[in-house]
Amino acid sequence: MPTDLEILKNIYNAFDPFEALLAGDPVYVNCNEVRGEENILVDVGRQITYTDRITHQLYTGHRGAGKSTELLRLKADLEGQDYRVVYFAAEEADIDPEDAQYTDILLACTRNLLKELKGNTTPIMEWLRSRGTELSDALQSNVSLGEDITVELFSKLTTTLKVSPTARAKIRAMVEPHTPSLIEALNNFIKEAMSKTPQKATDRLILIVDSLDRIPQIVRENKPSNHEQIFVDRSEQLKMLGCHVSYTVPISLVYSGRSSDLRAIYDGEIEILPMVMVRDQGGNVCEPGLKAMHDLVRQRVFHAEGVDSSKQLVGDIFDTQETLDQLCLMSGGHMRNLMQMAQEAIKQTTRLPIGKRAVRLAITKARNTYRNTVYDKQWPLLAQASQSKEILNNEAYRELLFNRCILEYRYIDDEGERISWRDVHPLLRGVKEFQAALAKQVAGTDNDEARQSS
Amino acid sequence: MIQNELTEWDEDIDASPEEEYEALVRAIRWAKGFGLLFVQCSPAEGERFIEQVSNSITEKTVDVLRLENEIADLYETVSSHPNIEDINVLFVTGLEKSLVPYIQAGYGSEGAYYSKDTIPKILGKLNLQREKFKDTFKLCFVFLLPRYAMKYLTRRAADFFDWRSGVWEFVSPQEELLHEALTILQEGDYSRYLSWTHQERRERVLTIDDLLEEGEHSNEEVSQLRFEQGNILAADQSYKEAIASYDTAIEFKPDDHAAWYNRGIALAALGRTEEAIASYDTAIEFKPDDHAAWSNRGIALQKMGRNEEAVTSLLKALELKPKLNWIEKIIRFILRRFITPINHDKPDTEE
Repeated sequence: MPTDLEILKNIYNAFDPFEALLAGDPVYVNCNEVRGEENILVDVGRQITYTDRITHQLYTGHRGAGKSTELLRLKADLEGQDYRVVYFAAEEADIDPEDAQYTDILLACTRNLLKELKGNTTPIMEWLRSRGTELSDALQSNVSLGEDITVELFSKLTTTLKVSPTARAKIRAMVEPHTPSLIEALNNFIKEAMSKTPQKATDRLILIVDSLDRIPQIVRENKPSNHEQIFVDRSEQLKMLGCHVSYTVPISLVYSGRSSDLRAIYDGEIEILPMVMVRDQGGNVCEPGLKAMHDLVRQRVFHAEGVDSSKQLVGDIFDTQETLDQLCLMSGGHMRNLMQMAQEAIKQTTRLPIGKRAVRLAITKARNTYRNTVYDKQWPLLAQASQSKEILNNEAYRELLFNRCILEYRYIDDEGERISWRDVHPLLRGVKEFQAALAKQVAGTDNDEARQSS
Repeated sequence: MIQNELTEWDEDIDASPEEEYEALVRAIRWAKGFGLLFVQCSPAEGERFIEQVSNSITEKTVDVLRLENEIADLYETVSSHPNIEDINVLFVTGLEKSLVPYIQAGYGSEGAYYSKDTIPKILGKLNLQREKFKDTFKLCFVFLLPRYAMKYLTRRAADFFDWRSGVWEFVSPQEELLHEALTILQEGDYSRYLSWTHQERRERVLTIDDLLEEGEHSNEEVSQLRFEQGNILAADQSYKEAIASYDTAIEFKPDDHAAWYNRGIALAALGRTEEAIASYDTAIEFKPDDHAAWSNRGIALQKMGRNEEAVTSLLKALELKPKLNWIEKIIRFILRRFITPINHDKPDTEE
């Protein structure tokens, strides 16, 4: 029999907050119903499978809500329908966070398509050749333009982008005026490569670009943010790729003043992965949402080594139903919050079951972290949002969405209509600054102040 | 719409430092492969932790990465750490050195504090590097950070921070905080501040902020610490922020003539001469025999073209400190150039 500490250690590791689940992972819990019928396979997937033309879509959601997990699920589903899917997460080699530009994204797409599709790279090679000395100049080394080194060259281009700011400027200067011809070459490559696959046509190819939502926002006065520049102002280039593309974008952009532009530019609705609805707008517990969160905990716990199925989730692992419920409710239906609070509670425990004090400590710590992310001037805004369950479309509120201090929920009402609403993170409700702002709000003295600081 | 009532679950509970420490040790002990832990503590406390943990966790290889300067890429730095592949637990100290240059300090201007028009190189990278960290380093990172750096990380490297398996906050015991305050005050010397680097000054400014947030201080201490902060900022030529610090110093000790006087100098440096004069006036009100306040006031008055008043003020300074030759010279200069009727030139310094 493993000791309590061994079991706790295993459960602790089962709650690691950083692994996106692969499609078909047994610990995955389907939450469609409690995310307002959000279903990536339908919302994004059908947009692709139902049309004859190529689509360019945007996908977003709160950090840690399970976006990558959902995208990987989409990939598996489309592959099951005989599509060719290239998925990649933009990484630091691709993008310069201080100065991210659409050219970086295009180069990253090119690199990954080259790597995955293994087709005839001649069109791209020719494009590189046509750049002549610019290329060796940018790479700061002489390159022999042999036949089979296109892939290698492109990884070299992207790594050079990363290491040297001067080289980056040169590479961009080389790519930017010739973007259309690069995309054309890339599209020819795609066409040729796809023609040799069982899927034949390019509209059977889907490129999923994950992690673009991690480009940190940089705002300068009287200028569009870097997010707007990339996804709105240079969208034309991002839309030129000759295959289906799904880009992840920062959630705050989708709520920005440019959101109507985004909707006009990209295909379909912009899909936002909402939180699991654990409470309704009136603050009452939603049993199905709570149950989904229970399932999530159960799956992780019983997949941990040494936890046999004879154990009871309530009784053996958690001391009472209330302890488990509160852990789930305080997460606000947010996956990673749940994982982190669970890990915290386990760490505070030396003997099973995990008790109330450990969970309360975990909640306290999570609350402190959230409290630290809120600026003084934001408390009145949060108080307002908690009252109206709405957010105004302005920068101040967007930041709160970005920070996950305001969470987005969705449900289907009796008429079959999808209703979206937002609420303040349940962890923040107990914070004294929030309560103070709320009291002021209710007293009706704070309206002006809130408007001013927004 | 009515919010449902708060329950005990909305209330914070405190863990004792011992409990917290035990939980930290467990987290390190249990970590399997990659993990991120963040500990907020003073540098002194950090060193104690490192020693304690190294002694109590014998089954793992523990090492320390001490960052002494600003770095651009944590991944690279960690990669080149000696024997990195054999290490199970890596404490990282000094990450704040890479953040300090980007933090706009200054009391009361929280918005600018975490300014969004730039992002520290290192944080921007960390957000996008996290997968690479996870895939390359099968070890548990323990970041030891001061409060200001932790806040900055939460807000500007949220994606990296979001992968944490735990965050701890250890507030140093009160006597230690007092000791730190004392050291800061003892070291307080304007000419010393002038010899510091920009980075050193910024660090000290932020440390004072943290200290004031963490400890319980008397009004006198708050005022003194803010006064020092103002001086450091003034030495850094960040006069606006310096004024904000002096303002707080004055708020906690309204008759602090030195704060009023230095505030005057900072205002004068910004060209806000009239306000500077008012500030000197108050300094003089609380310490009528402060010759420096009188002389600076005189110079400010002259700048406003109030030459007679300037001379009176400078004469007062001279009366208090007769050996100041330069004041005599200035008085003579003003008299000759602006006041004596035989002078036909028009005053050219008037604004």
